Amino acid sequence: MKKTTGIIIGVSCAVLVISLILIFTVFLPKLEHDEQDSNLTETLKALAVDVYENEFKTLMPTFLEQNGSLTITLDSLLGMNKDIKIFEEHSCDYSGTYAELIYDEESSYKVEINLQCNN
Amino acid sequence: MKIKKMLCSVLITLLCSFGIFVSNVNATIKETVDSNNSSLAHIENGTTIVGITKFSPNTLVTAKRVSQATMNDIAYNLDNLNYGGVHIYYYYYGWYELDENSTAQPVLDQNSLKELDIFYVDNVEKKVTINYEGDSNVNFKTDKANKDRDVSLSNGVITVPATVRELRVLNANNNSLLATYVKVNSSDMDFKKNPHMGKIVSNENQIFSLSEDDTIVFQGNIPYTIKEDENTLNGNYVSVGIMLDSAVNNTVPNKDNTKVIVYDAANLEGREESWENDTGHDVDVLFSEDLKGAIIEVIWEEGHSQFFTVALTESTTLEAAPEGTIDWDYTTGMVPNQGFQYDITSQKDTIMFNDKVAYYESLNGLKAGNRVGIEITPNAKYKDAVRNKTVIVSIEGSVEGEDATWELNNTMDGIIYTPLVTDENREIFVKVTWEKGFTQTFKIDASTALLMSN
Repeated sequence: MKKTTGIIIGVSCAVLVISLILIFTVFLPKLEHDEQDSNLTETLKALAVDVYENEFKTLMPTFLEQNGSLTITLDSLLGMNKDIKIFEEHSCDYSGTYAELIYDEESSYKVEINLQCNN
Repeated sequence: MKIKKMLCSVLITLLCSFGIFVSNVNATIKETVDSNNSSLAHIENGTTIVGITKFSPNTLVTAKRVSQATMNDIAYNLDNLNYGGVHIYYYYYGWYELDENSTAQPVLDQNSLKELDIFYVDNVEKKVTINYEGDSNVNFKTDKANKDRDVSLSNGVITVPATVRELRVLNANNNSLLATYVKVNSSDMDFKKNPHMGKIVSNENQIFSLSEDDTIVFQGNIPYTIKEDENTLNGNYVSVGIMLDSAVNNTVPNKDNTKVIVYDAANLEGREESWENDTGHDVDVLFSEDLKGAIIEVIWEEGHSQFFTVALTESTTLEAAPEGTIDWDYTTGMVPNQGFQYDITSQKDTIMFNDKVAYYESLNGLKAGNRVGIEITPNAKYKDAVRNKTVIVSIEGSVEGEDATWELNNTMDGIIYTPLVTDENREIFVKVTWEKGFTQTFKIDASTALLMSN
């Protein structure tokens, strides 16, 4: 009986320790990473929409409708003197990280974000 | 067999890379449709042009590629005030422009597209080279924020993206400037080494300023300056100096060729000044409440300009002009026991009398008639001047012989004037020159006043 109780306690402790290890090594970093990605996604989206609405659209109002989509890369944003330090800090690829504005009849356009960052 | 196949593919890859390298480096930026022109690269039938990008006949022009080319064109034209958006052309034994409905319309003026500046081929930027002899432990800074990382140095040759117009070579250890290269025209394949360059500095000791690169920002209160020269506007000026950057070039600029153009509140179209002396040129920049920024363009020589920005922080204030104010002198003009209306707010420096104006048989020995008094209160800056009667006053529209009726009131340090108002003399202008270069004109408007009879 004592032996069985000991085994149960042992197994419970092992499960607890493994759970804690998993939480600290896998889930928490993933959560942090997801939060970071979400932050980068929102920042890139805001930058791209700002460029499109305030600079691009004033020059070429029908471009998106005619072309169907507009890709705004980190490189393009930097070329337009936008602050992309946060992406450089995360070693994001200048071409592989981009916002794609896709023409949408109902909502004018939707924005899809592609991140290619190393950390 | 497998190894042979792998070697073959590696060889093909290398050859392709070499091909791309060769075709991009030193290909002319200017391209032509004239097949007889051997000095420029050629635009072939079936080519699509999107802004500064050429898509070769064999390239599939996808929406994504057009989008990238468009962004490149916008970034390239960022400082071009005349830029109106990207143009898309197609060449097939003549030029066609794709309009908003993607319909190809023949271009009427074919000659205007005979030669074009093409910086990208199939969205790959062309490169130009600079022979460089010097330390190889260097960093690069270009005039385009996203191009610095694309500059490279190898075997004494610097390779630069074609859209770059200015390149600074910096010592990698301490960031000191080693050399500057500038293109005179954006389509040039050669850079001019160490052309004249300037730095902007403040000549104001009392106003805080920060300068970085070609920009200087002032913070504080910008005093109102009175210019003695009648052709120069009074206002809120800061003085800046454009100093020759001796680290780049020690030679004195040619004063006949070097021009300074200032775009500020005094002249939005730009006023031209000649380069002053061997080491620098001072510029007085005028600001207004509507325009708290200015651009100074220095044309060092034809085709080589440098732009400086002078700005104020948002919290910076502009000192008001030391103007006097006009008001009614309540001792004169009102009919006894009646109200009296006047207006000093509708128009600047104007007092409007639109009520009954009293008739005086005798007022301090002045000629009989309708009179209404005004008082001009000087700005604190000129109180002593008024007291000492050093201000110059002239009157237009007054009755002959009464110009000299000014008097100073000892208690208010101002000026009292009691003009005669007649049917013919209802608008009177009083010009007060507070000091040389600063004259203020006040208007007495009694055009709607009711002149009472005796």
